[in-house]
Amino acid sequence: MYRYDEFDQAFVAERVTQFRDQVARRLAGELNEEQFKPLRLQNGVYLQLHAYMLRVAIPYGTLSAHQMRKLAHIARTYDKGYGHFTTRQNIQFNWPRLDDVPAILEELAEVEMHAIQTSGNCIRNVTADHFAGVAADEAADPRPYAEILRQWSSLHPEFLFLPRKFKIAVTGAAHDRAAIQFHDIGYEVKRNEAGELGFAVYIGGGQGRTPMVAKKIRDFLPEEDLLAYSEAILRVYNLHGRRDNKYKARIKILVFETGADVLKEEIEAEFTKIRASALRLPADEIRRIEAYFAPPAYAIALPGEAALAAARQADPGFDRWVASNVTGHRAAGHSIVTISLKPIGAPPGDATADQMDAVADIAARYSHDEIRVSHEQNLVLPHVATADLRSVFDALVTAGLATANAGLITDIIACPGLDYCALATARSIPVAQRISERFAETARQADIGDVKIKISGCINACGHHHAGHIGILGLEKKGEEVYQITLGGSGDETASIGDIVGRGFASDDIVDAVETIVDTYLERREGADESFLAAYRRLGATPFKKALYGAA
Amino acid sequence: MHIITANRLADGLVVFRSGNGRWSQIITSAERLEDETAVEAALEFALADVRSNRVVDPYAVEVVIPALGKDPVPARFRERIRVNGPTTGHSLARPRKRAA
Ligand code: SF4
Repeated sequence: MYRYDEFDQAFVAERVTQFRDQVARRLAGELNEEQFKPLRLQNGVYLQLHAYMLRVAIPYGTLSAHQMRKLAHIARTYDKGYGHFTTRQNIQFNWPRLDDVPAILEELAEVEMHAIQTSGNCIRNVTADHFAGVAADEAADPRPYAEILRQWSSLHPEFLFLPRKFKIAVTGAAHDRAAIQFHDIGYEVKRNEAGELGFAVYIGGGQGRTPMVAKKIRDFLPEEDLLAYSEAILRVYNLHGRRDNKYKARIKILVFETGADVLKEEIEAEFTKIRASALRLPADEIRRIEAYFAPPAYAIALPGEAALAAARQADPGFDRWVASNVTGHRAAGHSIVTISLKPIGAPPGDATADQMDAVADIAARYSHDEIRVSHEQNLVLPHVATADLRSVFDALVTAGLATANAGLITDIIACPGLDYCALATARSIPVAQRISERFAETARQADIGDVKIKISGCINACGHHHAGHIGILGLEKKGEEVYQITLGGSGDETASIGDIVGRGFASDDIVDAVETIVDTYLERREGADESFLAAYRRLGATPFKKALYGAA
Repeated sequence: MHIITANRLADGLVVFRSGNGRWSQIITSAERLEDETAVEAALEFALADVRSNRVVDPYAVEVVIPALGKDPVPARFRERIRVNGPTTGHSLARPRKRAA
């Protein structure tokens, strides 16, 4: 796994010392709130509805067991005993005291973690496919490139004050699990006909109040040009991006207003100018970084398939869990395990300190010490021997983490919403909790299959509702919570933005409305093989509208 | 009727301003402001407490008194959640180890 080089370590330590001093000066009254606020935001500290919130970066969602134990310790010592994993592969602590934050950051630095670039108009934490490096379907592990981008962007003086925040995602597989087409820049690692590595490049995707699917501006960018091309995109954006209006400042608006073709020309021109510069990535440098992400030494030719089949047959609960939460691995005899943080009726993405410790122990014992955080607010054990699946399942059962619903209708994404977020217009977590309870029954979930419900508590769309097969947006109307439904959104390689289905639903009616939509799908699908998204794309919105609002 | 709320600087928790100028986590003692002049005057005091680094982001919240002797209840849904805490279950289960 990648470890900080000495430069990084010194930089993070210096930032902690700096912030300790800034907090002390704020508490002593030497800095006022106006002066202090940008400083605390640069260190991931927000003031939310009830308290401060600390957002900690988990670059490309990869954690060691050791780091997870530290997060558990922080949750237990400085917070209320839990943390919240977010749709940006970060973790948020909801109740830290400001005067404790320097100590928390110091503890994080001990395990090479920090809260830098989790806020502000800079290049944010680079995200990657949570199955990176182990997915059976990938061209190459995207994380070394995410890391190269992270290093380039962390300290880039030119890009610390962009018109707006800037998000980059990288996937190594054609099947997109990282929603790259909803990012400012999305890179898909691929091979060309000659077998060389490079990237398809997408720009201008995003959600929020003006959702846009990204435009592909390059089908193949050679590997060595990753930074030069990124720099060219950022320069063109930095030059033309609107600074006069916060809502029009993202690159997606620039792409929309200028046109992808025109912008592409400018980016290519800039790229040609700087291509031969120091930004060109030497192959040996890429291979050096790649070495940090080298797969662990898997035991060869582990038996396990036959025993697994028998164990599945003997225990329907285990069988269901394997069916939904275990994914094929690129190494023979191994599996990828998704740990659902969506127990029926619980807040999506929350884990208690004890659960974090349990995951750390399981990862240390069964997953070569490694854990991933997915943007779907689940955890992943990337390197489990198939022969160990039963033991892993048993340990997860003990920790209350064996919910068999990954990818099913109760695997809901929800932003913090009005229960925590100062910007929210309505709650999102309780809606997720109630939908989860409504669809709790396992046979029904299996029958419904792959349905992604995504819920946001305001137009900022942190819950990715635009990309939900069923998206729910919470608004406030006349002092009441109202929920607007969108259908047919998708964050994968067939990215699309959901269509608003009609007028919104009161809090008391939203779960029924979701059920009506699901029942309509079940009635109209061509068979169990036709997923919700496929059926919606075939049928269009009409039958769903009819079911929801009558024939009007 | 209005009350004045803010977040305490050191720990960020929600507090309410009482008539004697203290800030308390408990809404019971919040000063009940009957008219605009009273709200403006109380906000002035609150802003002075911002300058002396006790609280941040003060503002007035519209409340009703549901019955004689009862605590004020904010009119807006958002403010009710802010007073009562998250509605999501386990989030309230345990206090921070390091209390104020
Ligand atoms: S979508 Fe809105 S309510 Fe939800 S976390 Fe983002 S800003 Fe807060």
